[in-house]
Amino acid sequence: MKYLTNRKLSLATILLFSAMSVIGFSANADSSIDKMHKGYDKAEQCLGCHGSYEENAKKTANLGKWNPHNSIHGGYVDCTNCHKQNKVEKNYCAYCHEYQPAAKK
Amino acid sequence: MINSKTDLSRRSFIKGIGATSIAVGTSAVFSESAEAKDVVKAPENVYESVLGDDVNCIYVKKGDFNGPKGPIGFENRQIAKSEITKEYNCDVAVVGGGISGLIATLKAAEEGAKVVLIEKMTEGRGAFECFGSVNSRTQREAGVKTDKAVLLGEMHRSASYRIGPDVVRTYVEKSGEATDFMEQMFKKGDKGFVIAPMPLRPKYPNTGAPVIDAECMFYNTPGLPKDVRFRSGHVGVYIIQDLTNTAKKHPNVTAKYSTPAAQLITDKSGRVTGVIAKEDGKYIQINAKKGVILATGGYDANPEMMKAYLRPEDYSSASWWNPCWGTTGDGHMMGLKVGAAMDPVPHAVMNFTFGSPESFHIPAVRTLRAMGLYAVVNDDGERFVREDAAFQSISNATNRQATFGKKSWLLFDDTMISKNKEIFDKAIAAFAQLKTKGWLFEANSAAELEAVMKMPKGNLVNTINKFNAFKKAGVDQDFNRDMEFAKEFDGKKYYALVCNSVILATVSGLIIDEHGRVLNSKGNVIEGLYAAGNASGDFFSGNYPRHIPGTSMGRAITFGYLSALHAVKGA
Ligand SMILES: Cc1cc2nc3c(=O)[nH]c(=O)nc-3n(C[C@H](O)[C@H](O)[C@H](O)COP(=O)(O)OP(=O)(O)OC[C@H]3O[C@@H](n4cnc5c(N)ncnc54)[C@H](O)[C@@H]3O)c2cc1C
Repeated sequence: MKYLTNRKLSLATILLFSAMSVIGFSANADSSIDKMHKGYDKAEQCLGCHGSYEENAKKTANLGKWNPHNSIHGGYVDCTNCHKQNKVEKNYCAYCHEYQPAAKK
Repeated sequence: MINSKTDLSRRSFIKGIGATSIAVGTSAVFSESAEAKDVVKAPENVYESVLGDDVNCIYVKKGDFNGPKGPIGFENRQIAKSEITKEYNCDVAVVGGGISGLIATLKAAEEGAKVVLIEKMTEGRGAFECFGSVNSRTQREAGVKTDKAVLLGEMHRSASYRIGPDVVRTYVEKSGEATDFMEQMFKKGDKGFVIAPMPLRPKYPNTGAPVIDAECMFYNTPGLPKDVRFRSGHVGVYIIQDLTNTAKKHPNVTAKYSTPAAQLITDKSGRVTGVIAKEDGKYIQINAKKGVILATGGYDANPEMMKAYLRPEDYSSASWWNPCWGTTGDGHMMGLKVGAAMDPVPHAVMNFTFGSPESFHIPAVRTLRAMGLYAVVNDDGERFVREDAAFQSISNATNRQATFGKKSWLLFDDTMISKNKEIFDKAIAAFAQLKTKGWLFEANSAAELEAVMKMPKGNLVNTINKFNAFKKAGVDQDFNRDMEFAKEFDGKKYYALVCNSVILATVSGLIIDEHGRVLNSKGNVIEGLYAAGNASGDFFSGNYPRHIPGTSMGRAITFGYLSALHAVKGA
């Protein structure tokens, strides 16, 4: 996906500065990260910048009681189930379990 | 209605399911060509195109879909020989590593066949706690006597007689044998799972349906953690892990995970000779001398298929309680593409009542379900169903209310929670959180409750007075609930808890015979192709009949077993 290359670079830079907190849980006014994610609504687009399902699962291996990206129920599923652009819109785990990912600050 | 003629050799339509396909680790590439010369009307989507000629659309108003989306493996386009990077040869290929797929894999392997098992996800789907079975070893030794005629009769009645006689009869005759095979496989596993008969409740409400003793469970397994024992659907996760380990260790089995099947391969005669799948983003071909068994489950995690084959009211206001999302109907579509017949629409869905707007209600309040003393009312404070009816019936009635914008509520007082203090306190504690979500209302009287819930004045009070009078008289004049199992409202606190219909699975699929062989629309066998479990059909219609013990798991185990046996032995 060529059109994503520039974004990939800038995202990488922002990632460095925001020290791992890729996903915002709060619904603040549009930040620059919000703006950057506008129009990115498909899992393929997410994966284009953020890497494969496996890579993402690795990053969240210690996110609370279990890995939301590789649970015992079996992965990998479409990003858009839980994420809308850079926000977690639905915390699907919490639909059945007490689960709040321990998002790093 | 639209009748559309399509010519599959010239055209490849990939809208709908194909276009949203996300194969694990890669993004699929599709070709689209839309030459439409002698076609009456272009197919709207892959469901029309895959059926080939004479597609009928039955028009219904569109429903909303808020359920989960799984990764689709099926591909409708022609995958060229040149795209295949690797070939594997085996006797039996099993597609799907859920319960039916694992039983099929192990049975075929035990019979000496070389098996390749492919599972799309990182784990096979495990979501169950008990299963239907007739006359297994453990049932026989415990003296359980299942009235087979009553069971069979109720299966037909529950399907409104829209099914053939062979598959359900075979379930009744062979499920015990299949259960005994599963028991042997547990002996090979390292978790020591024990199968035991499910105790029948001494007395049930009289709903008009027979009480049938034909179910087994795993709860007698020593060392099962408490949260696994008492959490619905949970024990299945560990059973699937155990059977998966046993399959992976079996010398006759090659098990591949994160490997979605995309389509079947047929020879000139129409015989299914193998399956194309994706491994590490590349296509592989698995040649299966003796057969391919589709054990891909239902399609509860495929929005497009749900919309194509279910009643909109069955999903529009529902929540989902299906933790594993590999179930996207790939087996259904692969079968249809090679000419398989499928259950007529609308398909049957497994829907339970007692749902929250997100899922099944949390364990802390499940005591309410167990007690079953509540009444069910709508936003107007009026009852609309007998509350002791089977899950699916209450779900349907709830969906009927929701179609006209009305929510359903479980109505109870503090005397209907539990007499056990610990359980009672846990429920009360959980109420706080439910209140903040707007799922629970509490008041000191019925009048106060109807006021806080903004119900029409007097309705709820009237409903409760009527209900209490029915209890006194012993007859529910409105819905014929068995009032022996009801309790009058006379507590100090009144509560209303929101009650959704919740989807667990879809249970209609490809038409099979008594050996699990898939049939075409003429009723002839498609050689080399089998289907089991929720990918298969001719078993249910309308709804999953929750009041009959565990037939979905029972069917999956039985036909996983029988299809493997037939593929290997031809009998
Ligand atoms: C919470 C819950 C509790 C339940 N409890 C019970 C119960 O107590 N008793 C009961 O009878 N039923 C119960 N059910 C229903 C039961 O889970 C199903 O009926 C049963 O699992 C069906 O088994 P199956 O083998 O047909 O399909 P599944 O178990 O759904 O397995 C299908 C497998 O195929 C895989 N697959 C799909 N497509 C592909 C592909 N293209 N390539 C490779 N693999 C693929 C899937 O990822 C999945 O692992 C419950 C369901 C839920 C959600």
